[in-house]
Amino acid sequence: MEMIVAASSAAIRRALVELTERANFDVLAVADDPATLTNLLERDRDAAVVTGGTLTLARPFLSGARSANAATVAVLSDRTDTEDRVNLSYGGLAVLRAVPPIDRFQAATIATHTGLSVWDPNLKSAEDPAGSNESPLSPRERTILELTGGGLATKAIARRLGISPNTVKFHLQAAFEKLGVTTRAEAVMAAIRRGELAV
Amino acid sequence: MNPALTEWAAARRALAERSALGVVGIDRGRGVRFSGIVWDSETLVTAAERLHGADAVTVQTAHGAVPAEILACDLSVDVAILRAKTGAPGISAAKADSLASGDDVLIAGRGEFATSIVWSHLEQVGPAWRSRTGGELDRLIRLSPGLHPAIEGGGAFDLEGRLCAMAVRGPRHQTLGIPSETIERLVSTVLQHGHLPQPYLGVRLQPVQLDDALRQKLARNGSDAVIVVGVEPESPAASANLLLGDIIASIAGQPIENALDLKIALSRIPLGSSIGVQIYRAGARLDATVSVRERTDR
Repeated sequence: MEMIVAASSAAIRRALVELTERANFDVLAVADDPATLTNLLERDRDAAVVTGGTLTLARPFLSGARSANAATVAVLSDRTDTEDRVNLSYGGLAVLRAVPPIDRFQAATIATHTGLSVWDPNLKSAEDPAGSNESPLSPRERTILELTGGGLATKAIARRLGISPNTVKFHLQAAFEKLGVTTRAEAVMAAIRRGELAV
Repeated sequence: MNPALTEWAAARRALAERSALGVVGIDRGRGVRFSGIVWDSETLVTAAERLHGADAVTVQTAHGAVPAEILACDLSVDVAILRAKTGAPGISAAKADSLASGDDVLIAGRGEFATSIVWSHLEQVGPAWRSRTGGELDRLIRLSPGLHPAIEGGGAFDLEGRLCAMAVRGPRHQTLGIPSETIERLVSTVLQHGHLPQPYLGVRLQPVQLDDALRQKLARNGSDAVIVVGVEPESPAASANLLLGDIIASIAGQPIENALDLKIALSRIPLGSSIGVQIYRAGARLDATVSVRERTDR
């Protein structure tokens, strides 16, 4: 699939190019303002658009892409509310929370190409005062993180909970994704910060 | 032949050979290999995060493979302590205050078949710092970026062959050195207790912002604070009657602005000791005393 990366900030463009390439999509062109995007879309009618950053930054590119009927993926880092969702959603647009897992990004991009509308449930919600956008950890995930924080090995956790080591790994991976982290140490700290683990 | 150069090369080789004795290869299985440091004849240290929760690994020395058991992991400083009979003499640690930015070091690790040596230098040596995950490191040591994964967990040795730090990969391709004093502290705790005790209070917290009036009342500079959103049953916090909605202002005199502060303040408190906790409840300041202990296993 061919993608046009559109963002006014160079840092966001770089991040989006990297994301797109890691997802094995081709970056056809890069647009740093909405007018350029419109020109590019006139030339390549089948290209999909990927934009991102905050909603304010992405909005002009989103409307440009919409008027060209281009499949669009927006990777947003700020909070959105129900109204945004009502105003934004249409067939061919995917809104994902930054930074999306590659498989999710791929799936959303393909979905927009077929005219589906995608709204990432992990998007930060403006309605939630505590800012815990993210889905809460399950009790099992919490227990496993607690034991991980105590320095316990996967097998020891599995023995203690009477489950298999693979199940422990599965729960840990699910917790990593909910917390948006990649290491055990970060997961424990993020869960403490979110008030899900006791100190 | 330039005799000065020959001598220099020989000195470098001697140093590499000596440092190689202080490191081992670690095989976690499924082709995952990294390195470790021979702390003493029965104790190894390595990068905790690389173990991925393994409870046993195979250690590769110049004389063959031996099994190792993981005694303890401190994820917040990325140090794991292992027991293995390598028969090697163990390293000697460099005096921390002898280190300075720019010092030459060599990073030694061990791959599957041979020693790995990378000549490098200490890019930065700075004061004590705390990691984003609540670990206290006695000194900031940054090595050249882009450490090869196979020598992660290996040692950075000074020109006398003494261990300065364990080399680990940090965020954004950085290479961090976990100072030998930090490792020493953890190893002696583990050898004394058999594990790494974690002081525990039993509260779950969320950040709150204090308004100006409250800030003045509490005599605080910043507006960040934490509020108790959960008290675990039978925990030290429960015994001290901490309640949902309490703001923890300070613990043992240390002001608490976030959960990380609390975690670090707790880690400095000897287990079993009673400490003062200042809380703010329903418009009034209150002093409580908690007795900090380890989390009992569920």
